[in-house]
Amino acid sequence: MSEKDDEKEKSSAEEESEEEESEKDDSESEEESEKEPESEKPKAKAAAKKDDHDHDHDHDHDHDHDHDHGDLPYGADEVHAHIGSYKAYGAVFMALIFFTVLTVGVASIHLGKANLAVAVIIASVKAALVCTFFMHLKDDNKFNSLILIAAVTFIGVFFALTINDVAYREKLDPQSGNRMFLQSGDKAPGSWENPIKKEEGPGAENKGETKPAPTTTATASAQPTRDSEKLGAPAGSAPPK
Amino acid sequence: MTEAAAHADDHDHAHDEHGGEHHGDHPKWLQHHWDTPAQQFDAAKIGMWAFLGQELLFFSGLFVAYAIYRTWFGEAFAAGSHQLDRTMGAANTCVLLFSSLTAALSVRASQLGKKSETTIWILLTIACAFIFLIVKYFEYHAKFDHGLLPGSFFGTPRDMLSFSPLPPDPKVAEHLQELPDHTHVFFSLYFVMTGLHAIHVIIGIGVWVWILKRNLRGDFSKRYFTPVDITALYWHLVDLVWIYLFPLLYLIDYVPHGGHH
Repeated sequence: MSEKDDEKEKSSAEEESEEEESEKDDSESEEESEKEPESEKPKAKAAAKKDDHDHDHDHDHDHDHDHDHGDLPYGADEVHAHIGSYKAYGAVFMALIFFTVLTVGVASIHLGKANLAVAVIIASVKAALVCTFFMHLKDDNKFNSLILIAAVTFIGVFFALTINDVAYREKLDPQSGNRMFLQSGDKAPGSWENPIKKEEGPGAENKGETKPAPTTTATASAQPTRDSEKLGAPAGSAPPK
Repeated sequence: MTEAAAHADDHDHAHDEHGGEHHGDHPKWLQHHWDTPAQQFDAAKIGMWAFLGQELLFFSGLFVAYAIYRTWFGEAFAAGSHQLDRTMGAANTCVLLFSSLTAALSVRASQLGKKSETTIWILLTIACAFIFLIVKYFEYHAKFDHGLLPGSFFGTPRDMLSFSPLPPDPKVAEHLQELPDHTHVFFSLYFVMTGLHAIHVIIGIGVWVWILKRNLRGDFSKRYFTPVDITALYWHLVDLVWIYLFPLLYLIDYVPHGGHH
């Protein structure tokens, strides 16, 4: 048992010196704050003394018993949080800016449906960078990552099931009163006949037909008529709303 | 063994002196229901991540609504998206990404116990938040001027403050006529999504100001920087939401089912 204690005290001592070293590195790299720690040390000490006059005792106490609490779930009194470097954070930031520029650039290339996929993928890469490095998920308890992944998974389920329904649903075509599939322009099965005929079109009465009536739209865009007409029409001749 | 026993004594000691001053063993910032600072810190983080999970699901409702209506009204969404100013949107994205950086750096400074540096980074984060809101204001103003308003308000240019209709402008009216039928749906989603996001930014500013005040008061140290860490987590989420909002709202390009543009 005593050997273990020695090892643990050694490792805590090592960690202490590591922290000091990283502090030294950091203070070397920043020029402005070299003066500040010194000028604020007496202030901080006074503040510490006011708030927490056992601070010094506590500090020693903690290091002595750093890893001794076998009964507690966390063996350390000190919070072991990873401290990132300016370089690391700066590099992540530059990567984020790069991906932003990339997103805007790719948006001007006409890839059709792939534009959406590419945009979402790049956004997800940016999100992953923010989560892993800025939000410290990389160095945290794994459970925090699990919470994030669980939320994202359920959002995925939300999207998948909704889109699977909505994208393959028919829409009511205002002209014919028939329910049409957006993709193919075909009439949806089980469509009911609108008894109020908006225009003539004997073809619309026949339920068995798979092709829509001639007056309704059956163009490649398969959108309700008004939208496509508006898109094609020059600026002066658009029909009044 | 004796050390552990002594430690147990100190814990009891602290609880005995509960009524009066109980700076006995644990520091002021360690709440009584936690055994160790590490436990408190881990619990705070888990709790915050649970809240962030909720926030993600919260926004996901709007994103799914967006997906539905974009599926049905792709053309209107592209036309609506073209009305937005991509430059302002991209600038706002960069501003928020930079504010995420300054937030992360404020946590870092706090972890190192550097009070002044923490203050500087927090101030920069707040400044970026204000820049974001100011750019948003100009964007919204342009939309109001052109009658690009949510839902049933679409089609009438309005004054931003009073919301009263502006005198009709033939150029604006002509421009509105050219837009596809369901463009108002796009703008409904645009205003609700960016508006809800902006509310989160405003709340974030409030929280950062509070944390700034606490930092100046000397509440934080190398051993206790948890509130700064938690606030930064919230701020990163605000940034995350915008990372998705920007391409989905500002960079839509419509392709008809024919295939080519």
